Amino acid sequence: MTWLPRLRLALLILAVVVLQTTVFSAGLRVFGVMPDLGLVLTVAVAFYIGPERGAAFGFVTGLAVDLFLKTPLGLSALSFALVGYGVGVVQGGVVRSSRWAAPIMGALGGLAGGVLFVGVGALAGQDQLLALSSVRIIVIASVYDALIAFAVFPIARWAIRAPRGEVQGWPGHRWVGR
Amino acid sequence: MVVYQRGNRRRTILALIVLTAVTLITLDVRGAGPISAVRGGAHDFVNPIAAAFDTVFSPVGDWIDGVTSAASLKDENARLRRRLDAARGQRATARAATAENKELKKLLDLPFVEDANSIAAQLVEGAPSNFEFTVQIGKGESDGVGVDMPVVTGAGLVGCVLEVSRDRATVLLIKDPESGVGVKIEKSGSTGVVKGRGDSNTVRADFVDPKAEVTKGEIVYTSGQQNSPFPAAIPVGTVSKVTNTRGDLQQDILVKPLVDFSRLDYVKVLRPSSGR
Repeated sequence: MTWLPRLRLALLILAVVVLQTTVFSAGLRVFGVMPDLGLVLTVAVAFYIGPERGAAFGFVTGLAVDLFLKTPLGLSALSFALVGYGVGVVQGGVVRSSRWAAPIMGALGGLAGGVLFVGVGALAGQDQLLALSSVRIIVIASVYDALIAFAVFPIARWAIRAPRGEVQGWPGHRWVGR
Repeated sequence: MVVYQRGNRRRTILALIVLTAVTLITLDVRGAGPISAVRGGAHDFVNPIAAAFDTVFSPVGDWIDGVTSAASLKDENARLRRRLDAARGQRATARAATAENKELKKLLDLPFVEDANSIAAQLVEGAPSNFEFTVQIGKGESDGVGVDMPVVTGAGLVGCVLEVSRDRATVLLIKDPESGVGVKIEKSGSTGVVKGRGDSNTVRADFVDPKAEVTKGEIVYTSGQQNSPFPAAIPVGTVSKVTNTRGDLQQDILVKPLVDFSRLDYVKVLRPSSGR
């Protein structure tokens, strides 16, 4: 991956943090629940660039989000990284052109990310996460994640696109940037 | 062979990431100092960008909010006017009681809410996660805000300061499950600890003596016990449900906070008076 996609991805992470701490935290909630923008971006990026880079991107994005949460630093990083890895592994079997790929991956990624966050958080001593309300939050958030995935996937695809003519991808899965 | 090597590399990268994340979690749970500083730095870096973003987009959000809630706002306005009239009458009565209370507390040398220096602050952000109940206020270390300072509105207790960066502070709301506030119940005088219940509209009062006669509608105040960051007599909420099962070691009491967390705008951060 050349410097330009890296720069775009870095700016996207910053945008995620700003949007999550302003627009979504302040008002754009459905039944009091906001989407997990960082998680959806991780799912989208991992969908296009594969498991290793997906996991690494998820780790960095989660770490950036963690800096603004009171839960332990590394909790979102771990759950995002595992989701990024998982999406990267399964994406090979998904038809990329399917119009439902984005919302389905967004919803499944949201569900998996939410469950991992709560599960690992509880192991790390965050007992308050083990509540019935967490189930409700995870389910609503995953539906919300599926909806915003429609917008996030094209942005992620644009961000990782190499400059005209350059080849990018990961070993064995290269494609030509348009 | 290539496939095997790729799979091996994947697993190594994943293992490294998991190990790093677990190390960070462990360090943070154990309270490693640099992590708090990094968090403060990150807030200081993002805050100006977020503030600029808010300035540009909040009028749009306010407009959408106004359009969608115009009808309910009209009803609410009428209801609030009625409540204001009632509150004016109660205020006169309360003044006399406050003066008396102040004199008595002076004698007892207890911390007093009105004596505390307060810092007015506006809410700038909500919690960036679905799993925590915090708000960001637009005053920080440079304004004298410090960790553990109580945060109130005219209605009552909001929470306490959890983290501070240069220009902002994170306030842990009393509805957060990690929040715990020592309280006293109005009539019975029994004490307990109010714990948050997440996105519920009530909080729970734990450790209340099962023999105490607690009734619905009683006011719950901060108890201001030793080592508590909260001064005494800040109203927290009203008792909304009492379940006292025979044989239990404590009563099951739900308290409805006096503060409407969905409509928070301005708050006051209480700085402890010099005597504390």
